[in-house]
Amino acid sequence: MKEKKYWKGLDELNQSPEFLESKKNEFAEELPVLEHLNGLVQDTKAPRRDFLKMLGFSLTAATVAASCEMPIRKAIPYVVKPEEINPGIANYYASTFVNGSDFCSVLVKSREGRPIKIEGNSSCQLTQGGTTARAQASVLDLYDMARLRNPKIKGKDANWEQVDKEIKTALSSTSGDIVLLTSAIVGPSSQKAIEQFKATYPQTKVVVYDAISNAALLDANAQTLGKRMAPYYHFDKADVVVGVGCDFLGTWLLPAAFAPAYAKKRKVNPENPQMSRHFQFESYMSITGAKADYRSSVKPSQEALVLVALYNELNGGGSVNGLSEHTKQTVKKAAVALKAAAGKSLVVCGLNDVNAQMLTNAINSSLGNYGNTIDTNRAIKLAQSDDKAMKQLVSDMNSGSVGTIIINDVNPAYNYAEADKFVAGLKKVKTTISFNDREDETAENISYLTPASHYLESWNDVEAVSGHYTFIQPLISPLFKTRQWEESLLNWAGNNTNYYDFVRNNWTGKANGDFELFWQKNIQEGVLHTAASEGVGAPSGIDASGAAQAIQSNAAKAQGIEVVLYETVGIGNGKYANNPFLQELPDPISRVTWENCAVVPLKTAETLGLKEAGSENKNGNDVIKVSVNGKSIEVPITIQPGQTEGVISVAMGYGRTKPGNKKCTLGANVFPMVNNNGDYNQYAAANAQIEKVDSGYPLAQTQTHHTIDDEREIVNETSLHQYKKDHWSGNYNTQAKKTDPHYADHHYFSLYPDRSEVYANGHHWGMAVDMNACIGCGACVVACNIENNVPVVGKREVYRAHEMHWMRIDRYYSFDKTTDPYAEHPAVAFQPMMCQHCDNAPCENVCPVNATNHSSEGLNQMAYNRCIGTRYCANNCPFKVRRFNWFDFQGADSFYKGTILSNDENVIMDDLSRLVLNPDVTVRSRGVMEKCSFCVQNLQAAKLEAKKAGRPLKDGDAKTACQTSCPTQAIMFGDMNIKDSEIVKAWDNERAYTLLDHIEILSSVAYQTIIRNVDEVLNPDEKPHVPAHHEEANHQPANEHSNEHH
Amino acid sequence: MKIVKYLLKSTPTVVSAAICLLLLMSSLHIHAQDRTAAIAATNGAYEAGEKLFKSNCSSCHKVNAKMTGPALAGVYDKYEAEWLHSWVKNSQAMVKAGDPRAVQIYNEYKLVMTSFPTLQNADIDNILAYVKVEADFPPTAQTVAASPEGAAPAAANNSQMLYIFLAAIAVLLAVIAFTLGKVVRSASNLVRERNNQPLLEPITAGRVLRNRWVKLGLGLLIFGFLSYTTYDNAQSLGRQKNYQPEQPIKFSHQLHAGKWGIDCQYCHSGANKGKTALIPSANVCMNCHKAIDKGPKYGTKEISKIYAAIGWDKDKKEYIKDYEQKPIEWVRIHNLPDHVYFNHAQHVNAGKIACQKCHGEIQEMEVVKQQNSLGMGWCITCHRETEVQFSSNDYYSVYEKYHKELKEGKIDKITVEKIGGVECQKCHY
Repeated sequence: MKEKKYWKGLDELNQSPEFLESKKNEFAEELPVLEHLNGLVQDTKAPRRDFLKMLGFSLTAATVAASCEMPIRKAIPYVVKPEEINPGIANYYASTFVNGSDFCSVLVKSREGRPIKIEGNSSCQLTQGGTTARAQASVLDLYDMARLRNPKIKGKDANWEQVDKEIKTALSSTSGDIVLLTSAIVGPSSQKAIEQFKATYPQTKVVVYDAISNAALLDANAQTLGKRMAPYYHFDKADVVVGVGCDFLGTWLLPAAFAPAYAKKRKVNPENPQMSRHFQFESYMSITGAKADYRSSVKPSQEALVLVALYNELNGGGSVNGLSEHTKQTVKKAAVALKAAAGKSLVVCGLNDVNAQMLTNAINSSLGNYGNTIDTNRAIKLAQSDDKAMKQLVSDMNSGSVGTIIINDVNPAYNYAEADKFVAGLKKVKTTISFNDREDETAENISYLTPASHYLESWNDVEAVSGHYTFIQPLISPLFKTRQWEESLLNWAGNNTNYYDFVRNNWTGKANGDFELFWQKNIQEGVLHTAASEGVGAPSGIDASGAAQAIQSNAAKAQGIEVVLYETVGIGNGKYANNPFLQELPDPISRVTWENCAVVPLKTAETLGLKEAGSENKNGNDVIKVSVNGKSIEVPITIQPGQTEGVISVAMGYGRTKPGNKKCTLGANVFPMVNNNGDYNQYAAANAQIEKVDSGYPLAQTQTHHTIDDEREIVNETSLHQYKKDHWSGNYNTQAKKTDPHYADHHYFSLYPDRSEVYANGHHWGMAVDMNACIGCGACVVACNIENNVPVVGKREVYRAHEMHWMRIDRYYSFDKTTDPYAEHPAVAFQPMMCQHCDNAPCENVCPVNATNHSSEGLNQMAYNRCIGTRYCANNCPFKVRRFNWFDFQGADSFYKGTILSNDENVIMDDLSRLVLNPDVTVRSRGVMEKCSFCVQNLQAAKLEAKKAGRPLKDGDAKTACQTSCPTQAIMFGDMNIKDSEIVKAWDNERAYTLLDHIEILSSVAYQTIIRNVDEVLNPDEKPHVPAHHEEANHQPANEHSNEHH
Repeated sequence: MKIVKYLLKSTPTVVSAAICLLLLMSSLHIHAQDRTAAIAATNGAYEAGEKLFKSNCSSCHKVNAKMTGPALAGVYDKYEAEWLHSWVKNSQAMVKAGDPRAVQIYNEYKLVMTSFPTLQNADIDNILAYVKVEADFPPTAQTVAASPEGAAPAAANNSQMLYIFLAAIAVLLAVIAFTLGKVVRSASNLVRERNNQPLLEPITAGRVLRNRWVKLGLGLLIFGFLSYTTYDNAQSLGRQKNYQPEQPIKFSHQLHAGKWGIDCQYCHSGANKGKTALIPSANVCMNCHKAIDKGPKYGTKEISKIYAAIGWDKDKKEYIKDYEQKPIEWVRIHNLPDHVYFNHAQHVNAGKIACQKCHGEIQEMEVVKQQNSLGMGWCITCHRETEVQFSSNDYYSVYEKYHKELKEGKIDKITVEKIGGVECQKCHY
């Protein structure tokens, strides 16, 4: 057995009796059945006559119901069928998901004219076919009931002519400034539209606002590079990566592009095992930190100090006070690694502190990374925020010098640090216009609501990174009376061209050769990559010592408990708060859904006497009041390892008051705690007061739901140098099994028939997960939800462990109790977990109606219409991947609305959002079991395509939703009978192992051992003793074989 | 006795029907022989041409009668082959170029013939070969329709008669039992009277019903009946065999597919490509009905409904500008529940199954009705019996074991079932 133990939650670590009991149970909570029955049935007598009466009634009722007639159904064809649309066959169109600071080049799947799924666009050199959770979920935003249906004037419905007329009058009579307060403008055409507007209204100013700001990074570069820009970072060229407070895989700048590039350097090629080494210094555990080889927890006030220490280590300088011993050692290690990889390394910093950014530039410059891993010819144009300008705007508004404000895609009344001041200013502005798509917090004080269209209803071009153009084309006509904001601006500027023509005209003259061909190709592929130059030279004029001094003096001021606010991969700055898919996506680290909470480190929790739900706090978690700088919030807590001692972190983006659906308003709004006293917004603060105010708060946290009940290894890991010595390291059990011909005789006695011959004939589907590449971002979870019509169940049901996710990403911690008793620096492993399609599946044997059984292609099939809901299968599943429909979450049952059978558990499925459902997948009704099907609808479709073409199925024809969504291509899938296919290679890899191997369930999903690029020996040599005669047995055939050749 | 009599009586009917059929077939025989010889003489051109004709030409042309376009019989004599080749490939170009014969046709029909640039000269020759055979030896209606189905109704009547016969026996037995019971009672009453015992009361309906055993029996009977009805109805819940709703347009498949022989996939073009066979959109109807505005049965009434949907001015022969088009709301006949996935392409394209196999003889239906139950048992039965295109489609090469066994003669055919065609997740997901 392994010395190193992996665990998911503290209950599991401490092996509390409740946990031990619950993990054996099928369902986490106690079943309410007996409670309900108590007193109702148990004490009453059920006389024979009553029984007979009931029997008679139900039989007659059933007879009547069974004799019902079928309703008349219509089949309505097109009047004139568009040639490219064939009902039942999906079309894919290239487009771009861009939303403020989020970007992803996508292909949109359209069925019968409605967009239903987002896929990555592999033509895009930035994202390389990957997606993000937000991009995946964005299709549901199109069908959001809370979207404005038409323009409004002072709260009353209006039409566009009326609105345009009034706004034009107001604009031309504006005295004072006209301000366009917007999120980042990333398209050349949008830019041009604004310029035209400016030409008509010269007093126009543009202020770019981002609630989660990168202004300091831009300003530092303005000084060192001479241009306010964020250069493009090449993680795919960096052998050493150092991140300081920078979640570049999850939320920083351009994660959709950084994640695939980073993963390229983290995947290990067996022939030439190399990988980058990643150091991370941060105050709370981010997914980036979770992937780091060396991670050190630092207080927010001291994160910048790390850079000082690192700079001093590299360039000679004194030691730095205030850092912990662990951090100091890690910095030293990082410095050594960086020096060795000068020019091939990268230091990134996510702090909104101009000194820290300056020092980061100094370090990168001294390492010669500019021009190598940092490309100054390409700028990341998503980063444009300007904290100073925003602050100035708020004071201008209050002083009355702003005559008109036009708000585009930002919501400062919710997420600006001084929202009240902003709102007060807004009231003083004469003409207020908003392009926002809903009546949000800001809209309350806006006179003209002129809703912009969703990106799936729009035309546009996007330049997220200089020279990397992507295009947006509409998938559907606007559902409501909305208009693209650029078109509105142009209209008000007196230009009545429609925006498509405007965009197209901007591109004329840029074609080499035939324009029509050029244009069609760009729209079809969705991308255009060109050379680019930002015209900046090498960094210069960096005052490193000045920056270091400023950092040190600032750090010395911090005292007491510190609070840090962070962005999650789902909700962002609150923009996605009304997207139930993202609300229900568990935070990758804390596994909390539907709201935010205070993440408290183990030791601090002990000192403050705070408790989670568990043995002593049966009902729920403690609730604390966090007060800082005169602002306070009340949030429940969760205790997490990896958190710096004395640091409490809270996610931003929750606690909105008007996102649309009232179920999406949970949590606390922490934006008022952002400190904007200086030039830059600060997302951390010291001297926080913590007070326990309540206990027993039910937090919907999926941390220990669905725990695999086994003592053996679930996660295998090794270090790079151990792996170089022996490819089997960390995976010796599998080695023994694969190389010892007598292994099975010694270890198993199987009652199952040997079906290997069946699987060898035809197809045999299998999956493999590279745990080195998985970053835990959750894109696959959302993709799976949308592809397979997996219902969203809401907070209450998640709390009761009734979440329906077919796949989850288990997050495991492990740490050394002797050196790190409070788990400040744990190792983390992400493990995507879905139905393993065991060839000897334990669930299949216990189904009384054979609703779940095995196919000849190795799929563990689930026939919903046969399932009677005994849930025996879920009880018998060792991976806990089966999900039961406790309610009719999606309105599949015929008796639904307005009946006693309806329930308000149902969150997303109103009539509009039902349009997102995949028509090829059954909408499950109440009372049936469901689980991952390996996206069997895609497998069947791929097989049919091959049959139609009269050719064998090729590698890569059949893909699952999780596989295509993965930004790092960590999930591989295919037919294991296709020779030399990717999946066969992944399974033949020495790192591949299957879970719970010792019970011989023959899982169809292989996981690949995690390799950490660390110096330490991770697991002492645990090679099982191989008896001598086996070695002989192994050698003999090899000798014979070689003799034949002679 | 009765049944034997009936059988004896019905035998002549069956025999005479069979004799009539034989006579009919032999009278056709001579004609059919010439036709067969002519077809054989084309060396396969007929078959190839037939396929091409049905998929490309039959929507506008008939061999022996005028339709949207002229009758094709005799064109091969009237025009030389080269001229026909270029005409079929692009007639409009010829009209524009001023070819006198082309202009003449155009003036006569005032319609542009669709261009078929993808057809090779050999294809066109094949079509002409087909047309020639069809013109010289037209198939008689009987060749198509004759089938020995005539005897079937008699057989169906037989089983019905059996039930009536059994019921009659049951009634008879009941009467006998009742009478015998009466006799027995009278007899025993005679004895009882003599012995001064109380007499047996006559059995009345009321008395019978008060008997607890009768009550129990009746209860069980009702329970059984209700259970059976529930089971029976529940099983057919959602099944609509013989469903034959009235459609918004009285479209006759008998006329289009039967009489005019238009290929099914000309209108239902999705059947070969994907999940749905497609109900043709109105613009497909207009391919022919631009020219044909009158039907044989309903005159202009039904056809004008298409015009109303799409906005066609039949007098001016042009589409009405800015017309608000209204889709035609057909009543869906074949319905499957949400948990069933069915794909037409899988069956029509990959499986090469004829439409009629599931939909019945559509070409004979004036009003379409659902021929089969579409129940799972029906599907499974077919999947168990139907062979897949195992050797002709390269997709199936992955089933190496079966290929080996076929070669070795261990198995003689591969059914859908053998490659997993009755597994749950082939249709339910």
